Amino acid sequence: MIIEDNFIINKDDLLKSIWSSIWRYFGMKEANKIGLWLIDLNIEKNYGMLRCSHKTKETLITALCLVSDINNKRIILSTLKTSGTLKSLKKSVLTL
Amino acid sequence: MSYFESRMKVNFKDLDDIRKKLKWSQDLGIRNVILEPKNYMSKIPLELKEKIMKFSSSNIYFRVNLRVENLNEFKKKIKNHNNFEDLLSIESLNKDVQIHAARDSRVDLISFSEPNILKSLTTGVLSLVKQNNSFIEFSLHPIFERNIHLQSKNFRILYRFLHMIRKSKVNYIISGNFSDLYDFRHPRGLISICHSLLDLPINESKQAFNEQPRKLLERRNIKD
Repeated sequence: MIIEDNFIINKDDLLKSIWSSIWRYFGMKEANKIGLWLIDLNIEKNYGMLRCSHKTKETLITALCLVSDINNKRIILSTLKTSGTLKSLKKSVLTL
Repeated sequence: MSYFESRMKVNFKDLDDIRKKLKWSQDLGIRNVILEPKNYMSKIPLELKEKIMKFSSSNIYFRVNLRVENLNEFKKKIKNHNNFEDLLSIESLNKDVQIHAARDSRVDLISFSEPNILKSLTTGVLSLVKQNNSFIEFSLHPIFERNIHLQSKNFRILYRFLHMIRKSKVNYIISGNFSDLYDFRHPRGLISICHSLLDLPINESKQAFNEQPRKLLERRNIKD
């Protein structure tokens, strides 16, 4: 996560903008398949952990990529790692 | 697997700008970058290249883009690029220039980065590019357009011509070509966009950001 002026975002704003990106580019047909869940958001280290259905992984990465601002602050949401289980994802997060 | 950002325009007269953009792309996790001078340079000096390569631990390559209006200008400019050691791309709205560039073995890449240039792409050019084993380039920066109407138009243009190219089985690469730092995206994200919004199979999208740019660089090495 890279945010303009080191602006501090909260979970609600982040989720809201991810959902609006999903709606804008994929509509309800895809949105109901995603099962999006924000597991963790670490503001200090600028990363978050999202859970979704494995079939909609590419949809979610696209939606994240197309988020360009939150609360009028420019932002880049980029994927660091994808994993099949939260357990192995948490392990790799420890190395960040 | 490391992907390429095949087109990053930088001001070669401003080393701080280059350093800043390379640092930014490194923070985003981009490991292979192809730099292009914003202002036309017939040759990139070796000392400058060495200096730039020290700015980042990423693999840095160089390309020069010729933006030409007509055939005479193309013929005049291409003369400066005999035995050229970096990648050479041509960008033009003129169909005659596109055809000549596709025939010319000095040209590695014909760039269709802007929607209006992309609209001028024809199957004739594609056929010549295929014969000469050179490459076509697309850029994804038009889909980061703020205006929603223009954005959907740009999606449509990209979709149409991307599938036209796929049909003709021509070598192609996809670049970001972003100018604003906050528009920069990791190629993995761009691969997902190509797959889910432009209907490109995932392995083909990955190839456009990984294997194809490598092939393009190998082509230049073979020529040298």
